[in-house]
Amino acid sequence: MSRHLPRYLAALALIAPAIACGGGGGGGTDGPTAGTENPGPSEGSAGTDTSDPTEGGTDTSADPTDGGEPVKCDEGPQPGPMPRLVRLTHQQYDLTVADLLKLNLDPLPSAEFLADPAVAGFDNNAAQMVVKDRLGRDYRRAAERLAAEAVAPAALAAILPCQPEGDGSQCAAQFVAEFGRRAFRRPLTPAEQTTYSGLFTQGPGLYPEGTAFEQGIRFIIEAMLQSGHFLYRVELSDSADSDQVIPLGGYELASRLSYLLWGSMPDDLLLTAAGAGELDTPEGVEAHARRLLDSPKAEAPVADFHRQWLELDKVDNLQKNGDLYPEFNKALAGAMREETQRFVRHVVFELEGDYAALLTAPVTFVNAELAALYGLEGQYGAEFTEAALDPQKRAGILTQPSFLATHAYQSSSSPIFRGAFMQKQILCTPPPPPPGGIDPNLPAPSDDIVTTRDQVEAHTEQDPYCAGCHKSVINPPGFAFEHYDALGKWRDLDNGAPVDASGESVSGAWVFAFTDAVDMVGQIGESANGTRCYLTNWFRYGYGRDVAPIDRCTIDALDAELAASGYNIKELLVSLTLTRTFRFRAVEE
Amino acid sequence: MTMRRRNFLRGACGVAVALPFLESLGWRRFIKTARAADPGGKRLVVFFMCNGVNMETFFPAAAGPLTAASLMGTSLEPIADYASKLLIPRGMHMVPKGWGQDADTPGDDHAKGMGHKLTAEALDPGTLYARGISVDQFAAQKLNADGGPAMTLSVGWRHSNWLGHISYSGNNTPVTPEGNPWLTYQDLMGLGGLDEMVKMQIAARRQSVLDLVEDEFKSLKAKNLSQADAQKLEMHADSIRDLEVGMVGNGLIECALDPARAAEIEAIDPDSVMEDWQFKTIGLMQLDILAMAIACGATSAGSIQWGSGSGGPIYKWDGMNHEFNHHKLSHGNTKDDNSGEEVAGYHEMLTQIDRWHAEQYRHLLDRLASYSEGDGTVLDNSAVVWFNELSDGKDHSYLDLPVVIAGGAGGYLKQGHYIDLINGQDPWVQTHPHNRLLITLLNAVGCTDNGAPITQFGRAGLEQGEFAELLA
Repeated sequence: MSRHLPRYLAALALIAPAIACGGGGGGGTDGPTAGTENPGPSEGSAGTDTSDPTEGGTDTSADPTDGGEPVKCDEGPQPGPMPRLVRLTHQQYDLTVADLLKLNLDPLPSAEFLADPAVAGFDNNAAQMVVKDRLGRDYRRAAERLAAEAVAPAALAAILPCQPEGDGSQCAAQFVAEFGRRAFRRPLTPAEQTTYSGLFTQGPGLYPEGTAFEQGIRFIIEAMLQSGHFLYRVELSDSADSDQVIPLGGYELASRLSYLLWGSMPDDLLLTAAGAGELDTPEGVEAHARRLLDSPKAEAPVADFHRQWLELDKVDNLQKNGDLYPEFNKALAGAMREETQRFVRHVVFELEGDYAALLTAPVTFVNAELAALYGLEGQYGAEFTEAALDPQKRAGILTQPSFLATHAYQSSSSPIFRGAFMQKQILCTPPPPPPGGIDPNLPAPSDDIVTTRDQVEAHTEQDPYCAGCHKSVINPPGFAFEHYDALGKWRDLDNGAPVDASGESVSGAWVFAFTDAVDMVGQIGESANGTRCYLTNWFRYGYGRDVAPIDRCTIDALDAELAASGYNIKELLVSLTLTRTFRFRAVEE
Repeated sequence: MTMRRRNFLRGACGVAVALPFLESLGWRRFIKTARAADPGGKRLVVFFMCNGVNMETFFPAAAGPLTAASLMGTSLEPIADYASKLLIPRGMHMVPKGWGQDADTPGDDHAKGMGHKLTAEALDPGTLYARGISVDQFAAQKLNADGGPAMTLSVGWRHSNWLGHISYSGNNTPVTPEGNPWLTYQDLMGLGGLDEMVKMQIAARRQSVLDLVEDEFKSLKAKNLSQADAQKLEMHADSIRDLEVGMVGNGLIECALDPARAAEIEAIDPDSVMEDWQFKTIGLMQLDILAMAIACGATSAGSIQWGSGSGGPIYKWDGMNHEFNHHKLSHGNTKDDNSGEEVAGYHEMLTQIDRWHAEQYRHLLDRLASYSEGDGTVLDNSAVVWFNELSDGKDHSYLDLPVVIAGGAGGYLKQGHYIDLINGQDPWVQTHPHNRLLITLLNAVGCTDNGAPITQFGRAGLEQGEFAELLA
């Protein structure tokens, strides 16, 4: 019997609905779903590249405040929809228990937690973060482990507010009040105080080791770490003010502040301020926002935002052709991530820089391996040191290998991956996903087709169906990076021919022409499209929710305010804490 | 960070425990002794392989009765001893279809192969997770007396997204498989393997905390929560209520492995479970635990997923010394994106891989057959189904699916036959959608639709009814 199937059947089968790239090739904000999308090294990409949670799935990186029903902003920005229960992200869990128990935890408790899905590019979407499947078990395991570690003698002393005397019940009650206030990020109610104090008397005899006092305290900690008031940030405020919005309570706002700016629980100062009503005014909020941003703890959420926005996790599964890139190994891939995170920290916190600096600063941080990749002269070792780069060749995050190498094939650059990333992540004008069943193989080099750019043009710009998105939207911003090979190294020639990195592209209504990547990112760094997209992504991450139509007013106002001050990144973070959607809750229904 | 059993045991005698107090905490309610599944009940076990097979060497030469001889020389040779207990139905195609044939269903062929296979449902365009329950979880809900879930296991590295999931408890709710055999075993044992006193202590604590947390949820729900927030709490409560299952079993077969085997499982470095060099070791452990869970009545349904769609290990054991991972070899290419060189001899390597999986399948059958039950064995009362994400991996084909069923589900299914459902026609005829196989399997293991046979499963509008050709 004949079982042979012609290979071309798959191609024949394809009658894909045409999705235009909007008018003259721009736009792309008509809300394409990402059903068939797989923008990493494509559908055949192996056990590796497609694991990035920011890929595929819901790609709503387009600015949803564009188009659709017009929202009137006459009455100024108003709060958008926000759940009352916001579960801690796994990173927030790790940071919070470390602060709460004053322990250094290795391995991190969340290492074995069920991973959260990414929504609109970020894995902290408040509506999506739920406790399901085996996560309840994971939390229980972690609570049992952490409670055991917390009552080791030295550890217990660090969190105990008193010296136990007699049966210890007085000190235990004090512990419940003070530890509970930190664990729940607000004072306990009298009923909670009674309940948790009761655990102290139940605890002894429930563990195979430890004194009665230790067992009682351990039981309290074990239970509190499984409480909904610890695992979720709970916002129950419900009284609307005269403007028909609900002002958040001081403790609720304190948690919003600390989780936005630290990714962890409020410190004692912030809790005290909340209790004293200091956060009831914008001035009070701003003062604490600035105080929090001056702490090294502010680095964690900034790093986490850029990790997700720049898709840095892709370096974990990076593979390169060993014949072409013998210098490539896991250590170099890890160094690429480290380089970008050090650069981001430098720009945001040391330079107190703006968005343009992120995209253009010709400096970076390298170890010996990265220095070789950049062709830097001089002595470099295992430690990362700051290095000046040739401003003609390098500018900011998008000319770093963490982006260039992860948006490339194993042996060659990929203008398509790089260009699609630019439109989607940097400009918030994502092209629609590629149709299913396309042939990803570029034509082989020939007399007419020499460079990678030639190959991509021949493959995608002849057929009008493909050209609709590729010719002016996807390909040109990708071609801009053709001076960087599959690893991110500079090249003047590609397959023996001079690189042409120039082009003209379109993002929404904005048309931009450039000579090369440095020129292009310089323009984007100063453009309203680039800054608004960066702001929109911070809105999503910072507020843990996607952008709703009503949020257009908030983003417009923030955009205008930040544009006036040059889009300083720390100021952007402060501004996020002063909006009405941050300080208030909308009345539902 | 896993809780190690020896940690409990070490201090077990150290503290004098006031037993009456423990009793007052009601720990007995917590340690359930009720069985999930009755002895002798029917079971559904899914053995799921990814990236397709070498279609040229997988099947016997001709349709008809199966004998050990007819399996010689094929990839199925390792299960030749079981020829009389096998059913190999051929000629089915996956629904919803691959290759863009159902234009309204999203996802690429790998996404579909993983998400459609056990659900026969389309994927959600937003998440690429399947839109319905999978056959293993469906069977567990019907067959397990306590409605408990199917056991869901994996071996080796897998995608954390839709390419790494086959089992679904409902629309858009993938069940994440457990890849760490020690955690699998602990979940299964609950507190079963511990010293009686330590067991009571843990049970009492967990019950107290559970009561407390549920009370808190109750008062939270009395507040002004939105429906979405209330659902979050319900989902959370369900998730921790499941944890109550402490001790399970049918009382006939002990829900515990030989202590030496348990110690080997405990000794596995949790950081290594996803690594290729552990693939075989972890796989055998997971199979041992799965077979025991099925045999002792912990659950009536389970699945084990090997590797990942568009992934898989580099096979370097049992006579294999491959240079490229399973996905690359399935395309016969040195690169995942097909942009590399052809791998010389890849067809033979794929046959080696298929054959190796047949050996693991054999191990599962051996384990199930080692548990006596009534006049036969647990295998006889089960349908143990070897599914694959794809058929021909290079083509990403969804036609002519390779399926092997062992055990007759208590006499429901035909055994000892290799059946060509499409009688030698080109598979392109697509007369036998695979959702009807899922229907057949559900009926075979005794699931019903309010007492009547199940007639539909999967996406609305698919063909209905079981395959009469497969019935004994």
